[in-house]
Amino acid sequence: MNLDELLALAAQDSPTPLEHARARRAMRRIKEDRQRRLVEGPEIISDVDLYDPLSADVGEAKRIARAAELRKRGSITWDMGTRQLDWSDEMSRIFGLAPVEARKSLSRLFALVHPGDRTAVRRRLGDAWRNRSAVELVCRITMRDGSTSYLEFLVEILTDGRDRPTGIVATGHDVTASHQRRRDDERRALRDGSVQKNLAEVDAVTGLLSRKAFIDEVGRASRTGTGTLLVISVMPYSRRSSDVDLARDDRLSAAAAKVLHDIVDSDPCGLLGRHEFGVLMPYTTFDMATSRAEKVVRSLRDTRFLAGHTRLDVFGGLVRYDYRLPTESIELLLDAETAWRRAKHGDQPLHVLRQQPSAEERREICRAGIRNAVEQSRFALYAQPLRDLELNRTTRHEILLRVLDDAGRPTPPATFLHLAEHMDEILAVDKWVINHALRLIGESSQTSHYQINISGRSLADPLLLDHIRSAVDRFGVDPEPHDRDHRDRGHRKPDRRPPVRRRGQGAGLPGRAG
Amino acid sequence: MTSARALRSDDSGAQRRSVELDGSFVRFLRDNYSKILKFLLRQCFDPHLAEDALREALIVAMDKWEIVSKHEKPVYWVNKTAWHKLLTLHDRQKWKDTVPLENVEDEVVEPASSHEAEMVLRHLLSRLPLQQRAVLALMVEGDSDEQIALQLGLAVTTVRTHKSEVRKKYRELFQSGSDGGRREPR
Repeated sequence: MNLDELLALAAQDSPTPLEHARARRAMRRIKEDRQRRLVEGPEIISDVDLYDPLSADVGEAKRIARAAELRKRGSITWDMGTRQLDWSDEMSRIFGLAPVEARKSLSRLFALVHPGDRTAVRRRLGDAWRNRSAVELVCRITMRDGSTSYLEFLVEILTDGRDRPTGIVATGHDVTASHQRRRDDERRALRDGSVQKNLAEVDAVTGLLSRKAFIDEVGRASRTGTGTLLVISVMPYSRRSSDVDLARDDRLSAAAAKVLHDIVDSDPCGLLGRHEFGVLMPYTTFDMATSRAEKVVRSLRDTRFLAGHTRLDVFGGLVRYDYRLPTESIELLLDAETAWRRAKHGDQPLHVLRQQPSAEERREICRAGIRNAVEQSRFALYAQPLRDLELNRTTRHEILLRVLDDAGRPTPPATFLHLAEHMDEILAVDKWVINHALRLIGESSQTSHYQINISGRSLADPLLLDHIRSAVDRFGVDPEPHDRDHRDRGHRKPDRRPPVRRRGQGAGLPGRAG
Repeated sequence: MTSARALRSDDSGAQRRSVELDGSFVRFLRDNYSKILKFLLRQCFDPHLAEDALREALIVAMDKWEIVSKHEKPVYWVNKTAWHKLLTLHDRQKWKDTVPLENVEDEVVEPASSHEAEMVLRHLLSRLPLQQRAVLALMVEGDSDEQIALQLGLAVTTVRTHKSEVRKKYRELFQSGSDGGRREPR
């Protein structure tokens, strides 16, 4: 069966009684909707062209340009008889030109096309003209500010009654955003396919296991035997300023890791957070582990002039694990972290947690810490401008969360978010982020595209959408250019940019920092 | 007295005209609603999206029926307007296309009825870009190249290009032969 026969057969399909009933229902709905709209305003306003499509008084070029206008497309018309080129106001807008100042000519048009695309565009136009066929093409346009935009055009050939070409109409629109999205997807797929897992498991600065890999290691050890876990906090003895010097912090982490590695020899070590290290000591008795932990802490405390710091403030927390008392690895880590905080609180080098807290007790400690952080707003928001080098423009700002430590210094949120997710307290954190980010966005000129990262766990909460809606209304945010992203933000690399707005400090707005 | 009577006569004339227009619009809808909806459904496969686009177009058509009803073929105007509304809604969805599940990788057999022909047609439509879908959807209605061009706001040469692409795609999808490819329904 050829296509014409298929079409003829399909055309025999006549409306069923059900379809007639649907038409009657639609009729009633349309009448009601029209009445409602007339009550709301004196006139029904809609983007339509009331001209009769069969009217002969409109030329083909004008008809196409008007249809393009309805779809918010720009149009370019070239007439062979007069050799005149013209483009619509919408096209001027897309080109970034003011309609009145634009000199419209073929040479001016080709000057706007990116030099790398000019030959291809000319060739495609030539083909379309010769074959009297339409072509779709995507080309880059260099804007006045030096940035690049991707435009998609449908180039159509106008003909006279004898099928002779008389001109060209090209209708086009900006597809930079969709091009960008597609390229991001491709880049993400390429990255996912090419990143070596074993490299991702090792911290690049210190050469120690990453937090995730270390937790896995603790999990394996605690399921198969007994042993101890030591978590150490290594901070510079004094820091007058709360400013962040990430390069210096990296140097300190690398130097401390080297000292640590020399002392513990073959035991698995991991970088758990900013200035926080873990040492796993499998198959050790508590007494033996305590003496080794004391040695580690003492050695680090005795170290002088490390990475520009005269002395280090070191505290350790020690806990034991036993395969007969199953505890999740993250909970063990939490216990050890609580232990070093107790050591610090009591101004002791090491706190040994002889008795594991109960699950309820542990959860309560952790939840209280998280709630406390939310209530006291111990967070900072950063806007990281994402600059597209190919387009030469900032395509969006990603809102990043940082947790403020005891001294008010921002730290990467991975550990905190991991715990908050584990303890089911992430929703409160995400609501804080949404409220504060939207408030800041609402106060700005909202010229950029912002991306706010939210946990997948929070997205599953049925009430979150209402919360976002109400925050959007409350802070007067235009929701169109914003994304919410539920990708795993806990494993993002910390950004290396200065904070652009910290709660309570009245710094500049995120979008203006880039 | 005379002017009051004239006013009353004007009022009743306007009312009569309004009733006539309403009647004419209802008749138009009865005859064409299913056809226009099918035209839209052949392009987006999403009944809600198609109905939304058509409702938007018909509300305006009803409001401006005095002008639209005088067109040579009002259905062309509604087709054109509803198509543009559909494209706008489609743009807002950021081109997340809906593909009917029943058409995914089905074995295509000889269509024996108009319903089966419609299924084969939808299979072909789902593999075409939007403008080519619209051209094919109007080809089913038996419209000429010029009529299609007028409704879709395209050049006649573009309609011909799209038609040729559609035929090529049809042959590719349903080519005959024993090479393991799909067979042309015959």
